[in-house]
Amino acid sequence: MKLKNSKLLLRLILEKIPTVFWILIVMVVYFSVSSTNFMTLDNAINLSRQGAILLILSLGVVVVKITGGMDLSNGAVMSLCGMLMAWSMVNLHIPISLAILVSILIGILLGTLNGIFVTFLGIPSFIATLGTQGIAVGLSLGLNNGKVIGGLPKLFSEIGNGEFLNIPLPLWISVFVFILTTLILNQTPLGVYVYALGGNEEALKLSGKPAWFYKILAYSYSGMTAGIAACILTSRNMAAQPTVGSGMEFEAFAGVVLGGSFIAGKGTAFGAVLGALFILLLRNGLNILGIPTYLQLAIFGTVLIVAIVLSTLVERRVQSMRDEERE
Amino acid sequence: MNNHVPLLEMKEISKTFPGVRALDHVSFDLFPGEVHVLVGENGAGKSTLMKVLAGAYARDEGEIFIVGKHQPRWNPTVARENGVAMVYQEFTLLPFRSVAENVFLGREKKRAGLFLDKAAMHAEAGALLRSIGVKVDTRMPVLELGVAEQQMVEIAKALAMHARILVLDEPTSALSMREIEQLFSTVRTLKEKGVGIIYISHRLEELKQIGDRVTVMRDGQLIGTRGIKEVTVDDVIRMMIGREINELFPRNHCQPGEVALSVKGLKSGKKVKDVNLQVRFGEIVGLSGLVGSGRTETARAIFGLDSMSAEELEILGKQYKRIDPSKAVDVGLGLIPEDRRRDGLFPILSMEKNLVMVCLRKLFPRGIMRPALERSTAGEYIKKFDIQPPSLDRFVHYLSGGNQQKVVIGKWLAAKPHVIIIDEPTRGIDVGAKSEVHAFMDQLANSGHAILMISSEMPEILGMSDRVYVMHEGRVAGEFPRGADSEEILRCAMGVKQ
Repeated sequence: MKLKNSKLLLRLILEKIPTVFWILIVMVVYFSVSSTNFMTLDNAINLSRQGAILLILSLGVVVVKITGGMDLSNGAVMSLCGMLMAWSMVNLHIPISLAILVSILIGILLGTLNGIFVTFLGIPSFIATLGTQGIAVGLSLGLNNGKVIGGLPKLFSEIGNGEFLNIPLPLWISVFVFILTTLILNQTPLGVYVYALGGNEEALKLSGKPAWFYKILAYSYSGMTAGIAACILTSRNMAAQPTVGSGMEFEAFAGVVLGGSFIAGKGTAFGAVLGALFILLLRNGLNILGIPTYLQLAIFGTVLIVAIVLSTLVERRVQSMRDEERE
Repeated sequence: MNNHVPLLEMKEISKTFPGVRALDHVSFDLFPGEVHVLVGENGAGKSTLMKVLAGAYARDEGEIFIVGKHQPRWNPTVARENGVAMVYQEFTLLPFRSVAENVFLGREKKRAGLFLDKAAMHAEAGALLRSIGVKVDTRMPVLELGVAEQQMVEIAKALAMHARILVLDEPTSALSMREIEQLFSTVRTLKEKGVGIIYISHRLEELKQIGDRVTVMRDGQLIGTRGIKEVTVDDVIRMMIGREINELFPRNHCQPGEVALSVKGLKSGKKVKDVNLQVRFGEIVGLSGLVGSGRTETARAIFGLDSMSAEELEILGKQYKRIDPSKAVDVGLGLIPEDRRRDGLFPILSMEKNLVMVCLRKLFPRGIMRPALERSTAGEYIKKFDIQPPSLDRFVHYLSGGNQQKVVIGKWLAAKPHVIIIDEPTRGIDVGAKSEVHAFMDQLANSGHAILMISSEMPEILGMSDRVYVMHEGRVAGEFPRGADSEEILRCAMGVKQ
């Protein structure tokens, strides 16, 4: 009886806490021991400014991932949002607050477009969002002939570089998006429907709910986070660069999967944050250790694969432990 | 209790699908607090009738009344509003979410109009479940529950929608004896609450335990509705079969030779538990049983498509420990699958490519294709089976069902198998093509092939088989010689003890 309980406890621990959490701890310990520059306040502040962008993107991606889709467009959408907000500040002289609104609205618009492609046109999300990615890249390159837009108002730099209560603003913003996502997913009917879309879409339809509507909302949300991230990114660089976000979608997606969203209907905002932290710390740690760039890339890829394999193995083990308990 | 107005009346409902009259003026009613059992063979029209009731299919003719009120508009939303709820065989639950979330899916309790009132949801879901005699932790994710408990959650979900007409579709098919008891006591509680229950089941022994009335359907028609006390299980079976075998089958003699295929103690997955069977050369052996009894899975296991284990697997006199499809083809086994569009054909490849697909390795052992040989081989089978139109380049997608089935059979024969497993050889093809397929099977057996035929159609089983095995819940429950009584076979398939 006692043995059975400890087994159950082990299973629950493995199940409730994403494997990436343990990998993260090992990584942090390793980097701290290897370099005195890793566990410093400076590094933490630096990381939180840089990392906020990936964190926020991941929190949008996880919502789409839970419904069973993926979003390959949000890196490019983020670039486009940045370009459009910078362009309108420079050329139309709109106030900063309005520029922020522009960025977020453009993000929501493109996300909604993704959702419409997936629901009404029945295009697989992989391809639909790839298409949107192309559109967004094209538009942001075309907007200023492929050139960077600079000369933004001084005050605008506060979003990415400012502080509140000694804590960088980007961190506040990511905490806000994290709380918002958690609230929606865990405390509202909307969240239940997002999980239902991934778990059993038919069940949602049978209970008389417009499944298509909630699916579009999920993609809109992902677009919105891209718009928010664009504000931080553009402000930190004090310039908008048309291809700045390329590749981010894959990092965000990898992080979300690592954070426990292996199959449709599963995933949490907390897991997405852990996954994004894993990717950020790995990058940062390798950088601090002074490893040459080409090696960094190779190591990054290898560790990523190892982490995913490990997580999948644990996932399967949990599955078989649960089956054993049933017998 | 039956002196009120009926909760539900379906009058003269008809529904036609292309080529099939699925429902032919069927009438059905249900009173409050009643369990009305609906029985019929596979394809008798039970599911179609229930889908019309749920609003999933629009009826072609007929009327629906709810508590005496005529319902001119009937669709899934109206059906739900009138308290119609289905508990499907495949559950519509969210595996990773809590019991309470599942019970209230789409009808969440809210606080401040926006946030979930989780406390209220857990409390009410718990109360609802207790009211039908179930104690589960409403915070548990559904996948942690047993099958029976999941079913109770489905029922609670229906009750949360204020169901008064509850359809239980084969609710006991996945349950153990104890779980069935639990379900029955829940059903009794529901009856006391005045809920009307339509109970679809293949297990006739349950009829007497739980039912008040029984309705028998056959071939899309209503055969009769009886009070449960007026009938015996045998009466019901007779009503279900009822037809004469008026189709002509070519099979009239059989000279069995050596044992070609012998299986003992075959296990595979959850559906094949213990299968023992033998097929001899020159013999057509029928494999009968209800849908879900594990027939197709048995075929897949013998062919090595699913992982399996067996005490003995002997093919053409040789013992095998393990088998995979590629080895099976080499040895001389052929599997003509049930769903030809999905498993048997490459719809947008030409007839020629389809016909040579299985025998490629035998035809071109060096791995280099010779177009002339490919064409002549394919041409030979097109002629042999009289496939229309006889053009090699035509995509099989554009052929009629009967001709498609001939291509599937042809492609397997081109590989020259000795043992052929054929799953539902004539499902969904017209009468003419049917008798052609039957004639081929007869020829094949007479020319010394061993054939194992899976079929849900009783006339086909009786008319084509030299011997019949009957499966029930993953086991071979009986073996019958040619000329056996169809009622005996059906009784065996339903697990009714003699």
